[in-house]
Amino acid sequence: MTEERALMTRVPDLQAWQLIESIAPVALASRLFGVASQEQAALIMLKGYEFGLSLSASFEFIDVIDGKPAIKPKGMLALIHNSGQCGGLTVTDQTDDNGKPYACTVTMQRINGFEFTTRFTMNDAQNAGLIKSKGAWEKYPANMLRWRAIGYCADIVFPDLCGGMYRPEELGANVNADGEPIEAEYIVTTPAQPAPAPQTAVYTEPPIPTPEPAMTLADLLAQWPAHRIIEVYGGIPASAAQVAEAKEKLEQADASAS
Amino acid sequence: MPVHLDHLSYSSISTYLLCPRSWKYRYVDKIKTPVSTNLIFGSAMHEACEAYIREGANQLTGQEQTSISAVDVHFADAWKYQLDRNQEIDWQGESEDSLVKLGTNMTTKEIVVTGGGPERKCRNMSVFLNDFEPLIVDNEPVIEKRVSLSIPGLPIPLIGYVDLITSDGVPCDFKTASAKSRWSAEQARGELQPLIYLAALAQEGYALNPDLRFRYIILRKMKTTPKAQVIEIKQTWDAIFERLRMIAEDVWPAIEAGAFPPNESSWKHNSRYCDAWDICPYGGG
Repeated sequence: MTEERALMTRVPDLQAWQLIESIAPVALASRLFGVASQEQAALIMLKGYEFGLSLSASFEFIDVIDGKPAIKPKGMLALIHNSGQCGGLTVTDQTDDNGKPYACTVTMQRINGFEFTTRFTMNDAQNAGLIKSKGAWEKYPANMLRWRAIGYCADIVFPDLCGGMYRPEELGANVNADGEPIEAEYIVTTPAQPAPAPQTAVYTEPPIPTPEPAMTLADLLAQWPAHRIIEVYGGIPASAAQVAEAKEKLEQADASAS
Repeated sequence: MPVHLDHLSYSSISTYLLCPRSWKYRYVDKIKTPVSTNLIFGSAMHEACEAYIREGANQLTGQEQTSISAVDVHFADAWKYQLDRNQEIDWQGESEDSLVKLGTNMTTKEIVVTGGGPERKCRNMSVFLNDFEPLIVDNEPVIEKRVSLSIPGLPIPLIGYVDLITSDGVPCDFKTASAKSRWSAEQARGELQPLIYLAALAQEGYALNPDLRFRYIILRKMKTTPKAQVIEIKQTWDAIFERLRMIAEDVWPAIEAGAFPPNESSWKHNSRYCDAWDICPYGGG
């Protein structure tokens, strides 16, 4: 790999495109990848392919937000690690006097010596209106700070690797929906001098928890007749949370009746 | 999703169920088609009836209204409004004069009413509508009430407008039907509209209609003796929940997946009723 890094690493040939076209309906029908249409699935795979990702990994790293492909910070890191262009990467988490995460500083370096450092703080998050009650910023501040700082730094140091793609949060998406609420452990060492060898990084992630599927009216109706739901819950549930609430009340009512 | 929607309506869902392809033309491609005379005539009659009932209610509640115009006067105003709306109209062989005459006939002549008791005659449409005293809430008659229904699994609300809620708490809907068509209670019970409106009212906490009644007031387009039908049905929670489940589990995922096949076996599949007939390759396009 040279420094003459092109924005696009692979151009899909006819065979690749046919493969993408044939996988798209399966990706949609499987409901495993959260895509809304075959076209969206194809676009995600095409983008991923161009950047050298496998077709299935494309779904892990690329989202479509408001019709635009957006790369997750984790996807950015994957591309950076894979590119051979990274001369160094440090991630420094900072805590306040009470031990609470306060800021994250990220420095990235290209093998040509270009280096940039970004820092993202809880104040920045507060000013940007990102912190919501019971949201990911409250629950996982260290991780959220880290991904923000990584994203901003990668924008400056490796814009060519990401082909000008936006990050989900730039397009107004909540990064919480990115599936990254994980407190990962990082031990990062930075090479003393820019070197072509990749940095040493030990990166351990706990398994990603699989969220329970939201309860639906059909789930409720499978267990109780509609008139019983009205009798006990007192109305028509308007959301998945209310369906869950109705289920709990119905179970309690059944238990006390028996 | 192929289209950005901020809400659905019962008519939108009915359209999808009748012909997904036609739904796509209207809601995804947003193709403008000329409005039918059925639609503008029905809208004018509907507005006239509501305006008459509203005036009567305003007089009862001591609001500004001091006199009540007959339905035919309101129809003339509403008809003019429809023509002035700068919309392309597909006259389908009818003329403006013939429709004005039809409206005047329907609103001024003695009207035969069936349903809601033995067949009876009313001196004219205004007298017939006096039977439908609106419910008054906060000194306002409940006419054209906006309702919104949230269904788990459906990311956007279902919005609708209940034409009238009468003083006995029953939601009502005005329909204008052709001279030949005669609605049955069974047909009314199979309609999606009452189920959605009853569900939306229930979700809003409306408690004045525990028996889930719904009333259609059907005005038939008779060129001779005007006729009206009043059909009152009772719905069940089972029927309501089943339809809500169907919307969230069947209709919405299909829309999201971009499933828009034509339905060539629908009654709408002909040049008279399908707005997109001329552009649809499965029709005349």
